[in-house]
Amino acid sequence: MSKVLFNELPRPTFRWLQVNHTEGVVANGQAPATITIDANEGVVTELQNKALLNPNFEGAEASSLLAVTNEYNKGLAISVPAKAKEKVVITIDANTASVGDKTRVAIDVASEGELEVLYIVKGEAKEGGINLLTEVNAEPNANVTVKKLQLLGEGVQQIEHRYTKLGANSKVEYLNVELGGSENFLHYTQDLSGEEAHIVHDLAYLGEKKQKFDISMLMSHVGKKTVSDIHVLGALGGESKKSFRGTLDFIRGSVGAEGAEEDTCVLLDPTVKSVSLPLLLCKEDNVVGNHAASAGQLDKTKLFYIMSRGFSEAEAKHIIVESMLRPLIDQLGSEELEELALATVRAKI
Amino acid sequence: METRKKTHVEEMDRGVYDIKNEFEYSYKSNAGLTEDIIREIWSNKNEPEWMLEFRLKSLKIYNELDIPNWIPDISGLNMDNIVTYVKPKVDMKGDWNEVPEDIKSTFDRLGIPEAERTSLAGVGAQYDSEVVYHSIQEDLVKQGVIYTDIETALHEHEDLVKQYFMTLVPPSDHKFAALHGAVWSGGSFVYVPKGVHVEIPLQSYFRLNAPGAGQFEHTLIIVEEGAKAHFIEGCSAPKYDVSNLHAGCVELFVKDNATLRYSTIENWSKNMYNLNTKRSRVGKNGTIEWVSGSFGSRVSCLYPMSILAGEGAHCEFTGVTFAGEGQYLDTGAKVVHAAPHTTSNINSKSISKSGGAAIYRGVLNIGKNAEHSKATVSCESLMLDQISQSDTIPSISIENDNVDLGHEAKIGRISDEAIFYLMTRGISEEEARAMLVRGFVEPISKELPLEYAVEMNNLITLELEGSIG
Amino acid sequence: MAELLRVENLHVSVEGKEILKGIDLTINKGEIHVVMGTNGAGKSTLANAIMGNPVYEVTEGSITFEGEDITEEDVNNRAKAGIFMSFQNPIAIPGITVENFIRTAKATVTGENVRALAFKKELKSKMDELSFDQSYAQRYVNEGFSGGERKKNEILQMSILDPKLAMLDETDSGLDVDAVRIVSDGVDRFHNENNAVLIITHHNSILQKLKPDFVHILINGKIVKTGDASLVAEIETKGYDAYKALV
Repeated sequence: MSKVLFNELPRPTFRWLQVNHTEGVVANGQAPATITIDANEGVVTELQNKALLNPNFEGAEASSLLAVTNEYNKGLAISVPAKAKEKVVITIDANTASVGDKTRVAIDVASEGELEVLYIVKGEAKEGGINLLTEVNAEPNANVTVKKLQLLGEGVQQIEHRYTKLGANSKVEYLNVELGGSENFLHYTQDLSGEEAHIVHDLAYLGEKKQKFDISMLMSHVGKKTVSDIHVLGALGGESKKSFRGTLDFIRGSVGAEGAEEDTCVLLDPTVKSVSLPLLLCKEDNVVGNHAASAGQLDKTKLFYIMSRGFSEAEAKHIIVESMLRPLIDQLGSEELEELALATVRAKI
Repeated sequence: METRKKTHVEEMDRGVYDIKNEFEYSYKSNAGLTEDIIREIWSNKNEPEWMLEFRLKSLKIYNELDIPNWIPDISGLNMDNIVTYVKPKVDMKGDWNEVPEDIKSTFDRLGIPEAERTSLAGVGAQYDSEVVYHSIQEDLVKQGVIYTDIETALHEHEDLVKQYFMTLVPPSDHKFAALHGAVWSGGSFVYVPKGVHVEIPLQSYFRLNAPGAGQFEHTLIIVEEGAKAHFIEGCSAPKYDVSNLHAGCVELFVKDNATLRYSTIENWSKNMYNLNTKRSRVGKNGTIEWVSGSFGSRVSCLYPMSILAGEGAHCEFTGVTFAGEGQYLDTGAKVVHAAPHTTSNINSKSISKSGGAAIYRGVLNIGKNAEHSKATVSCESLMLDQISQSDTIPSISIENDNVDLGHEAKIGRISDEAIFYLMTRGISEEEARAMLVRGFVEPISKELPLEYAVEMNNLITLELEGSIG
Repeated sequence: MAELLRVENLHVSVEGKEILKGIDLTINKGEIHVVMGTNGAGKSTLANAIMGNPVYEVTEGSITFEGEDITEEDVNNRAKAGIFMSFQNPIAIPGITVENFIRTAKATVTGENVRALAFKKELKSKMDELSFDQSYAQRYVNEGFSGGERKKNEILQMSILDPKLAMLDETDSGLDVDAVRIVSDGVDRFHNENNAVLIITHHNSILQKLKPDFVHILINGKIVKTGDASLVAEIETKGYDAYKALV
């Protein structure tokens, strides 16, 4: 299989660093996953229109994006009419030994509509890959929430491409809890086109053994007074690796825009690797842009405090990592899922 | 409706710096880079055989490498047309009084004799690829400190130079390092022996005069164990129609327990392409301090790099970049933590106005062996209008868990609240903005010796009455 | 002339919302005025509008200072004319020291050169009066200062710039007992028959020492009652209810 380049940096930098992109191979697998949908009548239909919402969208990687755009095994269109309120749960279950799945979802929420989508990505599969494309068109004043819990097996590759277009005054909230997968190539491009559009993206990950989390987020502030808020938070143990390319791009004219990006990584073993490229691009003076990246070990004070209550060091570590991810897991909205997530977290650390 | 108020911060007054000299040149190499030209340069300087080999090898590498894809547009530079070597009609002088009037007056206007009078330790001044005037104070010589131009060093301290020359920045590093290796000329050589503390800053000045000439000076500084020194580099060039190139190289070797402070104000003319490579290697418990002000040039690529190779090594970087009209300044700092208990602190500020672009490009690498390391980076960008550009492109890579890293970057403009506050104290809006810009760069100006701080403040040309001292 | 400030039928809006709905106020030399009122009534707005903060838009009415109409005047010109405002939340100005800042402001406001040595002496003595440690003179304006220290810094500036009209916006809020005493002593020392003070507050701790000549109650953008010092005690015991009904 040929090598391809994932998550290309919007503005390349020194080549010797080898961070401008991540080299990899798109995984091959046998059977598609089983897709289950839980929604009200008429909200989710077969995808008809194959054209991309934004033809310039690059996705996590070119060939896999092309494949999932045109040759998906499951194509869904979710449509929420004006002022309506809907909730959709999509389960992607990689339940065969080898999975090769391409699922494409196109979401359209009309003016003042409200939609909550919950993705549950899991499965027993031991190898292969899943390739998921989601496009979200949030019309003015729409409210869209997309939550995702990913519990794939440690031999399965995940590629996720997501493109979002935010209309004026729309509010979008994304939550990802990424726990499984051998290699995770995640790519999120957000065009904050409408005035006062607002997006919040929280992403939590937990790496162990040889897992890889390769995350790319691009927030394009086009409209005035647009607001973005990114929190990427996780812990790495074993020989796991994480790469975060987060770009806040203030386009000229985005007067009054505000963007904040935060990348926090807790390092649990000396053999992990954390790469962070928090880019801040700006052509507009009347904005507020902030980014912060921090990395380090577990807070020694916390460790000491917990141990002084009788816990062993290992137990204390578990407690601290769990408490770090807990606030995000708690937002998943379903007790059953939260339990599942927690159980996975506990098993991992 | 919000009325957009533009900041009135004047472009620096380049009056003094843009004086051209009618000058006779005793020698001028042909435009274009061929082996023959390299040989000409070499034989003119009477350099040892190994240096010819070195230059030729560098030329080969130069022809093989391509230009990096991420650097700003340098298509305005026609490499083949840059005349690389010019030797003015003057032999090196030891005494200021013997330097020809023309050259002296240029330096007079740039203030060098004054600097000499305020008892700086020594001044090496470069005029078009040759060091024209050089002096060093007696007690330094007694202490064993060597401060001379690098050509002299190559003759008088050949082994020392050979041991270090382009080992930190090899020609294979990138295309402009290779170019430098082939045609380098002039520069400073400093050697501080073990335990010697040089209390007074060593200063040198560059000037570019001939149309089409490139500056390829090489600065090589070795600070031995337990020694201490401060080196100041400041440069200027007049305006020309022909594109001018500066592809210099600075190599700083800071040995165990030694400290070196390297201060620069880069003030090249607005038509210059400044592609400079500065690198430092720091030994056990050694310290490198960079203080950097980037103002001039049309395009700049400047990323002082610190390799913290010894346990406990430390790096401090304080820099300001000011990009005005027509300027594209791509600057930053690189730190590599390659040993345990190393620490680094980067503080970078940038200002962009009138369509200028200020880019911070940084690297922070904490390697597998660098346990117990601590690194902090702070980048602040100030945009003075809505036609300029300011980007922050940092790369942070960590391969050890026992580290403590914090990085933050902010971008914004001068706050209206701050302006209002200053105005309520009677200060006009223009003055208020200027004061705030000056306050913004204050952390850098306070690290520079007084006359440089003053020069820097002049460069920004803040219109402030009853000037703050 | 005795009259310093005259505000007539002042209407002020912020981001399109009208806060002051027709204020009339006259302040003469030697007077101390107090403006009290509920939160959001527009007290800060009044001070800011008089100072000329561009965020506050005058939609109707006028502001006259010493006979000159300053309604359209720039902020710094108002300062030069002799108006001073002590901020409720003074911001930090990194990179500029307290000493340099005040000296520059003084030079600008008086239009004269300020001699370094003489200024240093004056600064030192004023700081001593305010129990303000000398080391603060070399620190950056308000950076790392506690709330109380920032307020002292405001009063320090006031005492050196010596304005004709000093407006104190909630200067006593957030201060401990000692700080309030020091600040009100400072204001008391400053006040004389040639200048005037406008105090905006909704507690009255700063008024222990300073006896106001006029007390205005501001409710919902209008002055509903003007009285003498006894009004302060009345509000303290009975609150604003009686006056809210008047709007």
